[in-house]
Amino acid sequence: MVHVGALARHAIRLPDLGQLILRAERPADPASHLLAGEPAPDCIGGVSFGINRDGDDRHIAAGLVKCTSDLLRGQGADVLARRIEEGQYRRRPSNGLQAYRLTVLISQSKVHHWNFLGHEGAGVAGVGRKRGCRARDYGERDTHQREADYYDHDEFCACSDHGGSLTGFSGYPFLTMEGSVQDPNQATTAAGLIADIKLRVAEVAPAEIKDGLPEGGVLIDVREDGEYATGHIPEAHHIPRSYLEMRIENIAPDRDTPLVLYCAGGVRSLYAAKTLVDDLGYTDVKSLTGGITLWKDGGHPVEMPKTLTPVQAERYSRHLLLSEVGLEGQQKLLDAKVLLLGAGGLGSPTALYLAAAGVGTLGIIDGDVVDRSNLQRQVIHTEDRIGTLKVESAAASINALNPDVEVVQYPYRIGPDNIMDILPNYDIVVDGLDNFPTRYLLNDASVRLKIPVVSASILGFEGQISVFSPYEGPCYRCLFPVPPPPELAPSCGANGVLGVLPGTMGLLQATEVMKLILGQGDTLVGRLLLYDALATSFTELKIGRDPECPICSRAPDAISDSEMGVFPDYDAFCDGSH
Amino acid sequence: MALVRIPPVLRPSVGGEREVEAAGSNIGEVLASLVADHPATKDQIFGADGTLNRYVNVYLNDEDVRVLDGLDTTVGAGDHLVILPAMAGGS
Repeated sequence: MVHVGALARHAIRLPDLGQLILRAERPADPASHLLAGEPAPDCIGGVSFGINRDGDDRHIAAGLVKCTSDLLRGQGADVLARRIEEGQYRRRPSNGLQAYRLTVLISQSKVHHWNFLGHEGAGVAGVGRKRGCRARDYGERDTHQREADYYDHDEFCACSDHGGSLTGFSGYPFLTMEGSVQDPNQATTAAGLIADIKLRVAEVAPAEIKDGLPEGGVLIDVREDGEYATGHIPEAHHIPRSYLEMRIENIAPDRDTPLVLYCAGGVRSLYAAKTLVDDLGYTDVKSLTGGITLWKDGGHPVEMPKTLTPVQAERYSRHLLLSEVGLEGQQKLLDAKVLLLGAGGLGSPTALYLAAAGVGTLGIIDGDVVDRSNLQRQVIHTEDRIGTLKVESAAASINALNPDVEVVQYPYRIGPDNIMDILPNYDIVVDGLDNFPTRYLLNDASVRLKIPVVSASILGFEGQISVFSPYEGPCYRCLFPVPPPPELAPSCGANGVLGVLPGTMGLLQATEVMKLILGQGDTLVGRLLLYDALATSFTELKIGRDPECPICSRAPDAISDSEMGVFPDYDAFCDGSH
Repeated sequence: MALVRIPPVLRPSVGGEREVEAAGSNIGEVLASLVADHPATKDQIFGADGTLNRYVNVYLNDEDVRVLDGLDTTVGAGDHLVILPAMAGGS
């Protein structure tokens, strides 16, 4: 630390990335130092720009924002002014002082950030340009002229061949300042650099975030993969330091997102935080003091990540490259349990692609055996498995494709007697059913159990698909309160279906399933998508919850245990008797 | 004239067309005009009491007419109607 008071009347020459941290105290009665009509020192954002001109203290308190932008006119001042208007100039609390951050252009090619720490309403610093480069169009107004005068004064402003110079002032009677200044004649030590960053990047103690971050905040582990694998703070996102700039926007696109970074001991996270603030313009970045080491010492919980085997890392490498999936997403897929109702036209492509993607558990319910007429579209089955159970045939194909996947076989039809035993074991249900009674049964059970259903149906050349997420969007009954009479509900067996159509619709289902698991994108909740293969057209319809829906308008708590597994006679319901 | 998208199950009743034009200033009139042109669709769209069958959804552009003004919903020239019965095929 250099006492800036000692620097008064001396210019501080700075390299391009030099910095000065100032602490200033405001006098009890600043007005007494003002001329009539002068703006108060705290006129803009509580920070003022004061100038002691050659012992003549009449000139004070041009607003910092205006002042610096004026000074830099013709040298990127527009950029500066815009950045300030956009809110770059903001207050951040720090150690009981108010901290002010200002972005200042001190060379034509770079924008530098300066932090001013000071009590409310105070803070004085001058930011000057290389002498001789001062803006020539000063003088329109009196204050401008005086600033120009000031910067032309040898005693106060020295020059830097690097294009920037900075001067601190303490001659003004109400100011005391201290701060640290980077000495350009001496290489910065690592310790010095950290000390400087600490003055600018706030730190939080483990105890402050043990109950979670503020609303919307994001915790980021910036350690390397191998370190992360040894345990991390729950809820933390993992971006190794070396990937930070490339990936941060995927997690925090908003520059005002409150971010807390941590590493092993609290140093690398400071560097990382500096990068986010200086290079990417994040406004609220903190570093966890002591890193995860201090976190653990405090007895706070650590979560062990599951890691991929080398074989898995190779198998899912294309997923790992996607920021929307990555290691975390792949783990979610491997942990996911998805139930497929039917290993037929829709179920075949869905099962194969979900298996290939590494969805860890696939339950398949189907009581049928493979028939030769299935093979025109049910691509999970094969000629040599005609006559075997579809669930067995599907399991054989899935295991041949990806041994990571556990297939749970249910070689029977789903019905009111077994649905409540099976569904609770799964996160998501994929509905590829071929009849109405079971679709209504599935809806009623899934709403009660709050399990989302990715539902599709096909006929001829057309398909429908939606996602029914209980209590979030409409349920199947909101969309279709009653089924059509049998003569208006022909099956594929009776009406025919284009062989590739279930492929298209099934893969749309698989895509929705993956999005639900990953928590990415916008799913089809509240939307019904129609696909017309002959016209090659998609039609999207809005579907909403029915406030009078007999199923999902009831509060989940209002359904008694004795009601839970009791369902009406869906065959009679679908018989056309309504 | 509004363009009405005919679902697969109703196409035999309209001569196999996927879309037909029908006149009318509201949903009820457009559907009545459709039924007048293609009488075989009547029982599939309307119940005995003249209201829409509950298993048929009708969308004006992309909105369910039940959340608009039902059969009284105004239809403009160039609007699209979608008649949508539930489908259950999956295999």
